[in-house]
Amino acid sequence: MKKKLFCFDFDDTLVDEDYWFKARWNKTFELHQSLFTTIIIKDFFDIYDLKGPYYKFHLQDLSLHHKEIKLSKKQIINTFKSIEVKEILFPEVFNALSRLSSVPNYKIGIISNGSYNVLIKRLKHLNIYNFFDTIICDGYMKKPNNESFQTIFKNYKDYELFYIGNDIRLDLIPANENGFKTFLYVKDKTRLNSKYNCFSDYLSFSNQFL
Amino acid sequence: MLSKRIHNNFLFYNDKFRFRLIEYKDIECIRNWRNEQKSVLRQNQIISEQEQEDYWNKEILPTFDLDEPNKLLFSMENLNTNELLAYGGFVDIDWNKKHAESSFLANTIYIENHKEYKILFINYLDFLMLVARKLKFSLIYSETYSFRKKHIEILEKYGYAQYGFIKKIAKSDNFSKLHQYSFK
Repeated sequence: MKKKLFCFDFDDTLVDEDYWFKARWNKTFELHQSLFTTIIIKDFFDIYDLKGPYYKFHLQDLSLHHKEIKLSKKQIINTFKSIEVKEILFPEVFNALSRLSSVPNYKIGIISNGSYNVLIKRLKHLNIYNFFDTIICDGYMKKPNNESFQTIFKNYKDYELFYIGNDIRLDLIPANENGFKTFLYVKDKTRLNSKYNCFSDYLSFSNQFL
Repeated sequence: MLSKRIHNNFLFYNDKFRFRLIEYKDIECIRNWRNEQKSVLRQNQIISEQEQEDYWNKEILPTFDLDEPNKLLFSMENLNTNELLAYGGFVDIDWNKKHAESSFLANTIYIENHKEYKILFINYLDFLMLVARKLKFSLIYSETYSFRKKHIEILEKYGYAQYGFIKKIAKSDNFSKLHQYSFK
């Protein structure tokens, strides 16, 4: 059997990133409950939904309408950064990783963007850290740059390479350009289509290789 | 010819050490160090004298004539005794992105003495960063085996941050990659 390396993106591929961010914000609001009324929280999530989780100025925008937030912005952000929440893997992810990694010629990896240390912590909390043979999480040479894919490509020359991600531009295109066969994970089954080896069920995904 | 410009324009001295471009006279020392320390290098075989000679002629010498060489190697000497202490530099230089991998190898006699090794390594990194700034490199990265704990400790204290690991090619332990912040 040919050796295979399955590399996954992390956020929105193995875990629900939106849940991770929103749960941390909700905990933050609980800890600063004297400041955050129901209306302010609703306004916050309106901004969040509009601008997305990586927008840096949610609180700044909120404070334009709710001046009482302005003075405490720094403390609120510090609270948010310190919050850890129990994350949830997408259905059957644990089983898929476990089954794939138990095949002698198969290895599992992660290529992701962001903070390496934060990712390691999250993987350990999810009890999946030990499945991985390689992890590349680069906060500087981020996908869609080729560097992370190249690092894997150079070091796993005798492997058939697969990349599983949720974003065509950030994941699939650069992975393809660097010698990986690609699969697109979509959490919403109604968005499944015949392009990009699209799937939403990790059990079926892993079964095709077993 | 970048090497010549570097040689002419850079400050190569501090109060204890001299840094200069690698020279032919260094290669036998370097061959011995590499063979003695091959377990920490990406080197599987013992390098013969002929192989080292060939490497010098084919891989090093031609880079001295290029404006954008793929590697820049430097030797580090004791300023007073002229003893060759270490060598290293930048390899896999990507001139478009201004990225390069940094490397460092000290004389084997300094490996066991952590204090001396640290002094050599930090001074070497100071010199390399000076070169990197002059060449406007935006990213310097390095990779090393994770069993080299003291080496990693120095890298991390200097400002390199780990961004990944690869187990597959491990010799006796995990393989770590280390990555440094950009210079601005």
